[in-house]
Amino acid sequence: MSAFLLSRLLHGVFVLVGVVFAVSLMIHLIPGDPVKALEGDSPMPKEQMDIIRHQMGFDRPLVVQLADEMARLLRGDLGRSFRSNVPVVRELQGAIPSTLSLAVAAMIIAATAGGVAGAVAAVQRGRWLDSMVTAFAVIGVSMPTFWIGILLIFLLSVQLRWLPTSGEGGLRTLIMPAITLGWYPAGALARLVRSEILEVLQQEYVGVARAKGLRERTVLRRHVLRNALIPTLTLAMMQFGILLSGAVVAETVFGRNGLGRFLVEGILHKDFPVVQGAVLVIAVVYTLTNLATDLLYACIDPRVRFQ
Amino acid sequence: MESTVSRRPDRTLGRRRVRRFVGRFRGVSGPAAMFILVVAAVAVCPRLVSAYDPTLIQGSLILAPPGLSHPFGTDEYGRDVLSRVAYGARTSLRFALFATSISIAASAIVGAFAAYYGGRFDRLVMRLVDVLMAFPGILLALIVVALLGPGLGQATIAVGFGQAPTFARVVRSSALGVRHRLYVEAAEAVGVPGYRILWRHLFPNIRHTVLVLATLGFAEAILIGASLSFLGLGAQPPTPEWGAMLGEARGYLASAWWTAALPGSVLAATLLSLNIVGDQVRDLLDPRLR
Repeated sequence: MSAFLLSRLLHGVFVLVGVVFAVSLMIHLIPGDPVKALEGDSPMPKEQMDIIRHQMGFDRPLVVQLADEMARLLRGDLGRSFRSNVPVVRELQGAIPSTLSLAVAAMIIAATAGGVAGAVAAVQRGRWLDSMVTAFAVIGVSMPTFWIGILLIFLLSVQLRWLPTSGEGGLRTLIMPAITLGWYPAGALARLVRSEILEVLQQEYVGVARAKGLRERTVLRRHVLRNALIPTLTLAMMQFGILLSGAVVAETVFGRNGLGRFLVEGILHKDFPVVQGAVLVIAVVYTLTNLATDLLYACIDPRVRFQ
Repeated sequence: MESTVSRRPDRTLGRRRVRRFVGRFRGVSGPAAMFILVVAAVAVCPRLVSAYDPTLIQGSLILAPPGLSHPFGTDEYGRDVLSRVAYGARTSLRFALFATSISIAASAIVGAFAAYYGGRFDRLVMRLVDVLMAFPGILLALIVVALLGPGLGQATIAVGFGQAPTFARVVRSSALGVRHRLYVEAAEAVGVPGYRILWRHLFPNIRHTVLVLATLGFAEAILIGASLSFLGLGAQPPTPEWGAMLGEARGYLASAWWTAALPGSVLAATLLSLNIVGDQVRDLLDPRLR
């Protein structure tokens, strides 16, 4: 294995351990007494608080608590939800498929729409279609997710009555959330694909391909698109991890019980094991996709391996 | 040769530069800048457009459609939507101003120190940034809100902290480019203390990067602040805030679309304008950041 791959792997492992450490540190970063924070609206007698403090191990030294917590998280034990007393892992298992299908659908929409729009804009550079795509991309990256969702609900559900406003199950409930969530990466991808293709078009090998008499379509497909694909793939994969955190808003708009909604409910109810579990899943998936992107990048583009 | 003398900026030159800068706002960035000025004016003085108290509850006017006395209708408590949007501009702009100040101050200090002193401190800071950047998008802000509890002040800290790692990395790389310039080494050679070199030589030469980060970060802060409020984690009722207004309006889309129309359009238009102007500022000041 090359030095590049090894260093990327080591870095990935380091970040993962850092993430687990940060998540186990979380509960100790709450200002004030963590047990007091759990108390909420119903006051507890001091003896009871001491018992809870002892049960949860808050009376041990911080280092011991942290080591214990990290070991627990690494074993995959995320504790139980304060509210439902169900193991967080089981609740996550219920929430992840919903978010994953949403994120994949959003990514498909973003890659298709953004890729095609960016390519068209680059080839039609300076014409009205290019301006349209560029305007659309700027609007795409500026619009807040929840505003797009509200506009879609108003248009497709309230006015046209084509799709249900919320709920889960089947493709029909997935369409609007996926467009909502895919909007931002579509705009970002369109911008990148356009500028990448324009850059590749200026390379000498494109001139060579044209000079040897290849048809323009072949030049574009074989020489331009393939080379422009590499950075696009990187951005698309990085966007995928960001989609998971963007799902927080999209799931709230459309009332889907995914990972993001689970996290927000956890925050609103001070249910820390839930918050820790959801945060951990998103950060780990994000780190792993970033790592996978780097490795994939090295596979596709041999130049990277020798840097 | 680079100048090794730090000069005071020439006033007339500065003014000419500003005029040239403003003159380059062509195309859509002109209207965009105008729109931002209007929003800022309304934020400073909401009375310009609002005739009502934004928190005034009127039981007889619940969800009243747009009309002469309430041009954009009223919400589910009979509050005037236009007035709430006007005062919401103040909430959002003030929020973004404080949040970006936090992120810019923290990242400029940490990034510049890491770049200047290098070594173990630099490695430590950058590893920390790596770990913090593993929490993508809005997630870092959500974690801070989870720790501090919901609220506008908490959300300000959350957004400021959430932006800081990415900004610190950009500031650091920009400062590294200046770190070994001749004027820095000359200052070191004559024994100028580190903090003074940072202040007099490093900061002035990365100010464009910081300014670009601040403009783009400002738009992002408004967006994330509105998102947090939409989720119920930022501004709490009855504070007028665009994201919170949309969160409430979500339940009335079928019966009272006007409760969402104005806050949503103004929020989207503000973000669009800020991004257009931000892109322009970046292209003019620091094209490398593209």
